[in-house]
Amino acid sequence: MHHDSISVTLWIGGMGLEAVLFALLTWRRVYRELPIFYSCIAFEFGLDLAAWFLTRQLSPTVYLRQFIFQLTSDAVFQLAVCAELGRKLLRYNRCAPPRRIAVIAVIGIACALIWCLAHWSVPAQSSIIMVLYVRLRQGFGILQVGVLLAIVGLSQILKLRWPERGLQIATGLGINFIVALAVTVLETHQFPDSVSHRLDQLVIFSVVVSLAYWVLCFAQKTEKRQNISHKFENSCY
Amino acid sequence: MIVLVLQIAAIAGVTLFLLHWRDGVVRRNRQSWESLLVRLRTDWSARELSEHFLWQEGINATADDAWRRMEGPKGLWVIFKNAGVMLEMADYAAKNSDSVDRLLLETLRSDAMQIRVCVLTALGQYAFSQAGEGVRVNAFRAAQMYSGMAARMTHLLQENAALILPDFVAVM
Repeated sequence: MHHDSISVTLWIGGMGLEAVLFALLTWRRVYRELPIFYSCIAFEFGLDLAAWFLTRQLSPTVYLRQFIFQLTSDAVFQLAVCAELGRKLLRYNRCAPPRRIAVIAVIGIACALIWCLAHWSVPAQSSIIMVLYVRLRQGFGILQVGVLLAIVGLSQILKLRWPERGLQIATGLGINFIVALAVTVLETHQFPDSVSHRLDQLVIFSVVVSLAYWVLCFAQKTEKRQNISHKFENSCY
Repeated sequence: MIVLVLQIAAIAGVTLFLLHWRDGVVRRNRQSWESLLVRLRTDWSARELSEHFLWQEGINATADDAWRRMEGPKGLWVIFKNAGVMLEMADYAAKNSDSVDRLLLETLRSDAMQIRVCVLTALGQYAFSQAGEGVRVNAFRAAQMYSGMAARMTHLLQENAALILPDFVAVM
């Protein structure tokens, strides 16, 4: 497969940031607190590394299959990270989980709204594998933004506090999800190949931006809890 | 073309909502106990409705009497604002103390939600029918729930952060 210099730079930059982030997460022992997020970064780093060596030797069809596998596994892992965030949010606020039916309803409403706005189409005369790729991309794009909106919406309604790390992860995911959805929506309008290629690079750029953001966040320690009784004891005397 | 513009507008709307939400969460996470105390409204106190306000649940007034003593919508609005701030205070206490009772926190959350819904309903009715029967009943219910929430909040602070309780009592 042919890659231009921007794609190669983004790819190498992304892998480098994934490696740094993985090292930081291990050093901060994030695997204890957020095991799914930690596994997600480790998995994506391993997969990118494997793809880097494999893509040079693969035919376009095999490359697309490998890309579909990567797209699916990334999306499933990111949705699992969202579920982990939701669970952590409830624990942090010491509140009971909302009814499953309410959660499904909120996710359903969010996805339905985005589906209505998206006006999907698949390019004509596409191969089955291409149709599958486009459909998967559209489906995951909607689901990811829908799930994130549902978590944010429920936390707003219930007035929940967000832990610092949780908010940082949600911010990074939000950047990824929104850009991926915007690009997927734009690509349904069938722009010329050169524009589509730049849009794809924009998605990779958003991944690099969120990785850089997480590296910056996890390089810093979280704010320590204050003991409110002691704090006021000090101010009283 | 119109579809494309609508789609871009929709995605921009979702992005703005997420940015606005994030900004609110960051601001809320950074607030101090002092900044929360300052946000409590002091232009009306529910002591007008109960001698044992903050220490016991319930009010000593009929619906008509309560409406008069809470100075109509003014008292209702104070109840609405203070219920939200008290919930943030409970969250602050939970964030900075390990011993906060989960059930009590859940009850405070539910109190705040119910009070705010009840006050908004009463204010909505007031906008259309002035101080009709429905408005007074909803205002009475909101005041009753507010006194219960305030008593639970006092209990929470007493159990987990007794030293900051006097500030809260003084402001309320």
